[in-house]
Amino acid sequence: MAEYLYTEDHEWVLREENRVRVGISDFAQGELGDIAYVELPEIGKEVKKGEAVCSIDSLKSSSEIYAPVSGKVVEVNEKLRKEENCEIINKDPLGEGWIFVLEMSNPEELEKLMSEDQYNKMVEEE
Amino acid sequence: MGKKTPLYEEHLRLKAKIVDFAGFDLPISYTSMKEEHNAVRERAGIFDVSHMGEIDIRGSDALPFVQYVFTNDASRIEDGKAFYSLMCREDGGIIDDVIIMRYSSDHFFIVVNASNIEKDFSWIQEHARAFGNLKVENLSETLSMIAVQGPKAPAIVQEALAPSSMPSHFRFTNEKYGATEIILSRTGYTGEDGFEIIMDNEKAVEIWSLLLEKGGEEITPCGLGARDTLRIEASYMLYGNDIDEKHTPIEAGLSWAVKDKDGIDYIGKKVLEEQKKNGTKVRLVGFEAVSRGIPRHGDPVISKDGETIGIVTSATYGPFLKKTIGMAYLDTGHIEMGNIIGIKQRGRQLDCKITSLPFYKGNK
Repeated sequence: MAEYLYTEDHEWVLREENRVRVGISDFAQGELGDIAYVELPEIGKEVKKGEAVCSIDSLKSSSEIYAPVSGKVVEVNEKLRKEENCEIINKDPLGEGWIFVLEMSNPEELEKLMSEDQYNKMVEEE
Repeated sequence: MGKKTPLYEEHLRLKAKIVDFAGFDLPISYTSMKEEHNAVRERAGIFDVSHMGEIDIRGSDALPFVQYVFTNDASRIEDGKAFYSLMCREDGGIIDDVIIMRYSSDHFFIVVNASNIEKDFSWIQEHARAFGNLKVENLSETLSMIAVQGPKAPAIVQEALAPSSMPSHFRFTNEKYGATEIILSRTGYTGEDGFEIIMDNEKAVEIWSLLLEKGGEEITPCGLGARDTLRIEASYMLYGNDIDEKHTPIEAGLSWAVKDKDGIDYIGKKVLEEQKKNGTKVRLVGFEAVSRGIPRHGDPVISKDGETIGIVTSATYGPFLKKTIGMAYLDTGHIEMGNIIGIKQRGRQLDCKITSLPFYKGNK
């Protein structure tokens, strides 16, 4: 079964062979509140682990989404181009509310990410 | 841990997310800011605004005192009416923006911002000394305030409180409630019709519960988040964001609340009259985002040539208007309706268009 991995910046990743699907955690969507805009990255954009990939604006604040691993953007969630659809991140952050897919250049970086249990523990301690 | 209003336990029961605001632990939202916002535009919302301060001014010198300390003209307001006014320093800087209720020429009741209660009260006390027959009292600690706002608010208030008379827009009445009295004021901060109800702390839970019960499906508890997005759509000022001691009412576009008052003297008069006549270097304007993204308080505004020409005071995505709107102080020379300005943020620049205020004209 596919397993969600998490970063300290509250992104999740789900591995799909040599790709990863990326979104923000349920905790993160709760903290951000209603999401108004997602500025999607361009297809083909190359990013290094930890670099800002795109930004997300909620009614409360603006934040950046960082690359959980290095790679190339190969897919984006087109639905998020429309403002009225951005609430899918609030409603289903781990499913319908995914943001982009990266083709990994260094899959070993996945080993550095947290398991769901580790992430939940980190969030509780915050 | 901040101060708690008498309704704090009610907020926890409703699973509100609590934040600090002006030293108070208050709900930012219960479910979603967007849903709470639209509930007020379409039905009704209920807000705990007990953090707001109340100052009572009585005595035969009350009218001359209010005329001297505040900028609007209290002599032209009928008894039983509420009005917006400003309290300014000698240099015109805004100490606070307030709602004044006029009971009579010798009794006024002032609702002030939570963050300014102590400052306002000392200012008022200090200036009261020059007036003979005057009693000023800070009632903020003993009173609570609940706002019910939205098109269904009158029906809900009627059903829950059965007032002997329904005040019309910008009027207020004192109503018997059990052994005590409450103030029922047809005012608000959302751009909708609605009420602000002021009561003794001991009655707050009972009245809150009654309004929720009678409102049923039509009433939604709303937090500070929706209160902020609603007031931005309606283009109301938030003290500390849009107005402060560094700006005057004229710069903030509030000249309508600065009156000549038949030539009598009031604090700030010299500067404010001069600015009314000759204009100001900066002025608060509205803008609408052209780019996707939300400017934030404090973001610099730049011209096409990259020159800094102003600063953002408030902005949000307007959940009802479905666009990003905000306000900014701009150098007067750069203000032209429809002009594009840039708003600088870390890593990006948002294009915005200068527009007139208010964004939302409402249903009052």
